[in-house]
Amino acid sequence: MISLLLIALITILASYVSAQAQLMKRVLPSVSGVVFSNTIVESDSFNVLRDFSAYNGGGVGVGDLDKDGLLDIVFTGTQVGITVYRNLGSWKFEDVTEKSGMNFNDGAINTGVTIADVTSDGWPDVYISRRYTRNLFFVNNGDGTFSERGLETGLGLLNMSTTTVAVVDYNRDGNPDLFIVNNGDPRRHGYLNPGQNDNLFRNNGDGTWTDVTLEAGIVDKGYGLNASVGDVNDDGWPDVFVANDFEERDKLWLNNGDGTFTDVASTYFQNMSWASMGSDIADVNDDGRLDILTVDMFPKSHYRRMTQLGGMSIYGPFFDSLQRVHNTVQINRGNNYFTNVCYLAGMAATDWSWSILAADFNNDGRTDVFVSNGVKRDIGDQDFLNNLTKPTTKNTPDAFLNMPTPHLPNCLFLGEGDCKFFDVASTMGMCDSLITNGACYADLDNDGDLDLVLNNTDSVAFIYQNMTQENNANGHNFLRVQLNVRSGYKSSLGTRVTVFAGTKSWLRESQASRGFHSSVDPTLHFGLGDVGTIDSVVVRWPDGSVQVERAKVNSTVRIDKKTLTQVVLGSATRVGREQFGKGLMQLLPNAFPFYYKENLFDDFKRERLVPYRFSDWGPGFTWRKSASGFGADVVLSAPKYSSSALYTFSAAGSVPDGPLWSKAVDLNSNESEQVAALFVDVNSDGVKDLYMVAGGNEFDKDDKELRDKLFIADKKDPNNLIVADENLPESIQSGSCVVASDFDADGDQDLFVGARVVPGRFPEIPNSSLLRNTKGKFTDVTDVVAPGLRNAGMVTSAVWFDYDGDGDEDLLVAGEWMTPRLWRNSKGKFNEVTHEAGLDSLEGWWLTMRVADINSDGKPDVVLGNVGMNCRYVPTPGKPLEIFSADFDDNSSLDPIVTFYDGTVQRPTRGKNMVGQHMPYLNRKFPHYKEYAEASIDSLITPEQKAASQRLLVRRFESGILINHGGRYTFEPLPQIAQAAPIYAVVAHDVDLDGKLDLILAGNNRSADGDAIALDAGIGCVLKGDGKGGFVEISPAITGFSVPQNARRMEVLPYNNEAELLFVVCNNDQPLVFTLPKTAK
Amino acid sequence: MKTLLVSLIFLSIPCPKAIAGLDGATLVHQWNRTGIEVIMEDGFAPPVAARIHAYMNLAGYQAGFYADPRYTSAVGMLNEFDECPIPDLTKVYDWRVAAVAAYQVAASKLMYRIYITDSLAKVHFAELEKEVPTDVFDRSKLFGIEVGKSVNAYAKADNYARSQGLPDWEWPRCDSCWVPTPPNFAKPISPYCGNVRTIVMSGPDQFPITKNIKFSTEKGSEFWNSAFAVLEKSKTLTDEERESANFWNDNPVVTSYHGHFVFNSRQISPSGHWMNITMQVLQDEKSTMVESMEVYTLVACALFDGNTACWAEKYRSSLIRPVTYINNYIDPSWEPMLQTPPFPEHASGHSTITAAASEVLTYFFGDKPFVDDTEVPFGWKPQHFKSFRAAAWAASLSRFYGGIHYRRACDAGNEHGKKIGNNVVEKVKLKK
Repeated sequence: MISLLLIALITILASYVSAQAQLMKRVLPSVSGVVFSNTIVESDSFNVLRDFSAYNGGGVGVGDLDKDGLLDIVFTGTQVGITVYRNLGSWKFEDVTEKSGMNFNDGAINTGVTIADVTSDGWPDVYISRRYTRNLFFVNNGDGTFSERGLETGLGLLNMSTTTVAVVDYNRDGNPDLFIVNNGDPRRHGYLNPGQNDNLFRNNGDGTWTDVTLEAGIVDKGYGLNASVGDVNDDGWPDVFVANDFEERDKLWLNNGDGTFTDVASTYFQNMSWASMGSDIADVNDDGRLDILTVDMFPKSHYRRMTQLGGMSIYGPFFDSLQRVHNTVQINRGNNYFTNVCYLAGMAATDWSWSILAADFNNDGRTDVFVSNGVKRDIGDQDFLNNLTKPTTKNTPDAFLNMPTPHLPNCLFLGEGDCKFFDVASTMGMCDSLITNGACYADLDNDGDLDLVLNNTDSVAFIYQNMTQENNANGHNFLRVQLNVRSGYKSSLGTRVTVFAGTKSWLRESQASRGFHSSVDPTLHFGLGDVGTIDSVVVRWPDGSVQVERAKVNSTVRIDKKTLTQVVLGSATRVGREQFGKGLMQLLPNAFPFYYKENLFDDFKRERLVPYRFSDWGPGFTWRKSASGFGADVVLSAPKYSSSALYTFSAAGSVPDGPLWSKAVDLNSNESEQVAALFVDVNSDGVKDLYMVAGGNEFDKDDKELRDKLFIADKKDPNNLIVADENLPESIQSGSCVVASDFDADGDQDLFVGARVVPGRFPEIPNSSLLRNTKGKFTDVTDVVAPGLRNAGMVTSAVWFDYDGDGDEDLLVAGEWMTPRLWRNSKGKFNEVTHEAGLDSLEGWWLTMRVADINSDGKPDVVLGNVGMNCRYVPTPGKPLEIFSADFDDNSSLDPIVTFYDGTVQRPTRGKNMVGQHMPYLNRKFPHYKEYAEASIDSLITPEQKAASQRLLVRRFESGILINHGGRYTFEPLPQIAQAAPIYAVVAHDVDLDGKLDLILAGNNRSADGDAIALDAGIGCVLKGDGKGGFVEISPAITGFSVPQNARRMEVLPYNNEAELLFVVCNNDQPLVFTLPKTAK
Repeated sequence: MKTLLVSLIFLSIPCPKAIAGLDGATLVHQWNRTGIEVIMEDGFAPPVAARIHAYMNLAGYQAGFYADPRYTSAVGMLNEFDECPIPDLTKVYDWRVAAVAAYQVAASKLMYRIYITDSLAKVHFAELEKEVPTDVFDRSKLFGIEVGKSVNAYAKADNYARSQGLPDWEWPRCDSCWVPTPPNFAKPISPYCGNVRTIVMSGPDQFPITKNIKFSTEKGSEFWNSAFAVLEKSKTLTDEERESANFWNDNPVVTSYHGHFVFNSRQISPSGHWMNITMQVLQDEKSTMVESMEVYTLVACALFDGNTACWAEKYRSSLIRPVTYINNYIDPSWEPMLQTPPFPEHASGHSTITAAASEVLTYFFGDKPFVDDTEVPFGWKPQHFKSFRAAAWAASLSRFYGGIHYRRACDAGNEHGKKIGNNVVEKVKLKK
């Protein structure tokens, strides 16, 4: 005993000395006796070219099979059968495969393992999924032995390939049912294959199961790899998420509560992983809602991105605009929308990943994420794929041997709060490069921290001992909850437990199947951080009954289900959370029944290397008070081939929920694409006239369709709009915005028209212009009164405002690849004061601006919408994205190369396929992907070419606020949630009527380049202001505001005595109209 | 690695071992075979491959024909080929050195994996340096480089490079229009190759191409019947026909799917196949260096013009492929035996260029029976043909057997190709 203590002391001291940070310590096989290894022996008939799933690997499950209080382990192997280890305590394990009767090594390929007491006899059973052979169902006899009962029970399915089985009591009758995920290779060799549907098996309660797949409405014939269970919409009914590899979309099967399911993935998610392998459902941001995580195979390193993904392009034959190659971190927004913040969270790219597990590994009270990694061979290696066979040889059966064999480290992301995660695997004891497939967490030594068990291909299984408790816990506390049901209700799986302590709370659901092919122990583990006292533990049992318990920190509590508890379905769970209200804002779905249907034009076919499309900037809109005195008339601009029009406001309330606007005047703009509009009184007759800006990229740079239009409104009939183009200068530009001001103080409205792009010639700088109004006729005076303004940049937005309080309006201009530039007005002449105002070095992809006094100091601040931080490549001030452009290959088309900093080297963001297609000579310089992967900008172009090229850069993607300190500005980023998507439109408005300005933000970009495809995680958000410049999000469940569409511009329009209207125009959609409660006067 | 590649190439070329010095004809064959190899590795589309063969051989010929006084310059015989450096004939040259230099320089601008051609040049130069006096060697090399550069300038002006900077081709939408084909639905390749300057023909439209019959989706219509014939044929193929289809497949990039990873396997291009036939015949005939250069150059010119003219018509007519038509109107689950290459139907490119090349070879060698073992490395047995025209006809028909063309496209291509080949031998008289 003394020696043991001594050893423990030495161990503690040693670990303390070596590295306090060693979160995970490997328990060697010599100690543990766990020598299982999923060794895959390839042959001409068994390799990835013959069997695409050959290297998918096995799973691992834990459960207390013998009920001795210690968790036992079951491994499945591809060619090595099943191995069962009994936990003897003190990190010793005994191989009991033979004894258990699970020594079923019949040569079949095993995939997943699920451990759960599905027979409801109190003893955990084991389900083994297999390929080409029937699945095995081992019933626990309670004496250390198991009997295979697949045939008797009906669970011994023979599918082409079952991958994972999830336990879900979908009908809440207390008997665990099974959701069986199948991988049916639905597209063999590029031609359609019937595939294999997933299965749902209902537990009849008598030891048998019935296939209810079709009556439950489950249709999913994908490359299914994993399923996760959780009540994601918080209605008391467990839902099922299925991770599908490749083009079949992931499924989110929402439990309808009547024995059927509905797939809502395509509406709940804005995007998903392309090749989803593993998944987990857990509250990853600790906000009390279950989030969904998936893993894909997007590499971390540039080299592997370029060699593994050089071929992935938007034009792939099975391209699906909703699926991207990246992991997803789908944050549940509480209103049936999820926001994928994978890039923002830093977890988008973990390379070839299989398992993802969300749990608190360091007990700091914030959820962490483990991801397993690696593949036996690089099936995606482009050099290999493109020359599967040498030209002179026939396709030989051993061609697979030429594929590279990568070993990759696993990832352990520690949650830092606010959706930020950092991978610490390499510094916290998990730096081994391995091929890990299935994985699970379990407290193997019952000490209050979660250990990890990994099933590795071609290597012995790894057990990591979590050293948190051994290292004095770093002051972090924990709680373990064991759930125990009594007779009548047979399974605790699906029970939701929420721990409350002060303002903090943690939510867990007890589910077996997690990660990839694997299953965890039903005991719930909570890291509590420095919380010392738990206020309450609220248990929602699967039948909906709720029970409140108390618990002490650092303990394991066993909670028995009470029989006499109030049974409440659905909303019973929302203890301690905001209640869903009717919403502060109400969507009026039919208010404006006219669409902006973008014409089909693909910028990338002409300019393959542009980072996003320029042809979908619209719609623009403008409004003026309705002649009737009620509401506002609206001009909505139109894309090419359709026409902009004036829509007049009809008296509100004539038809309940009916349209509020009707089309009044067609502006005959079918040939042009109009992208911005402005009601402005140009002839000073008291009636607002109309200026329309032409734009788009579907033209050549000199096309007359790019001319702006001017309409003079008849004084007697303002709806009579008369074309007056002769009053405009003859200028041809692809524009973006127009703003009016009497800058020369001569009593009439002058204009600034921003230009965004030179069609077909990105990134050449277009000509913006300042138009002076002389008796209703406009003259271009840009060069005369505002030197430098003409080529200010690729302008998207401009505002006139008196920034320095000297009584005249100054001009702030922002755009893409440029910093916001400020021109100070001094008696009608302008000089640029960008530097003096502290605005240089703020180069962004600025999309919109809104002037408002955010901090209530009487000085105008500016809210700036940027592209956001949820992007594949995010610049920093010191490491900008930089573009180098010229016609490098002398074939009359521009070659803009966008680079990012990979360490200290600037490398191209785009892959070899697209770059090589646009600049074929580079294929000679870089015949192979591996050479291109090492290329920097200096190897792509010569020093002479570099010196002669046009260069632009961008230093930040954050949206934020320019705070005015009296003529000088500082930039303050908006909160994290506002960085999840581009912000195309901002309204500053007191939404909650507390007298302080709040911000309403919206936008999405579904036209990014062929690699990133889209920046579309946005559903809009409302930020509550504290009047001092601070903002916090108000949940969309409370505001009622969500815009998953491609919002472009947004304004508050007058409506009636009770409310105003928030008018949001969207690209490729109908404008959305929300009511806003009217500010109290 | 590089030396390994080069030695692989040598191994694959049937050439007499242990020649004293480097035989000029062997040198020419090795450059042509290497051209074929690099084109395969790079995966060039058929019209691009033909263009490479033509300019490479033109460069070699222009630098080396002086070795045989019976021959003259091609200047003036090819479209816009108005100038090319001439040597100082008062001095001594080694024309093999000049030819190697010219091949290397031309290859360096035509292909991508030029480390392979650079290695070949290095090996040849090393060999030749042993037997050629230094001053002669240097002078010859310099001359060859000049010729190579001149041919490169000539090639650069043919509108090919310009066409690379054009937007992706937007295929027209209509019932009879071509659309991307299964299994990989690839973008149409080389859509602008019909705009490239023809090398001998006055323009791509010099010889009219027999149009396909009137399109109809109606069952029993002539067009429907022609598609049905493809379907029927695919079910009744004899072993011989099947083998012929595989033998002449010559799809430079065959894709296969594993899950959703697309694997590309490389094969010889149609033009490469005929360049290789040419090599076999020249070796059989024991033709000299310049004789070989002449035949290669003319065959390559015929292939180049054949491709250009055919591509112009393909993208102009933009006709639906049998696989799409049959899947849409007859049998949705039908798969052709061969993978349909990603460009429109009419006329058959292989039929066109095959006929063109066979006319050139017939002009030189008559109805010569020969054995073609080009496809042996790809696993197909050597085939015997009683003449070049018979081989061309077999290649034409094989497209119909393979289910990738209507019969009419094969006939039209063959007819068109013959005119193109004859045009080349009429216009280009390299022998004085």
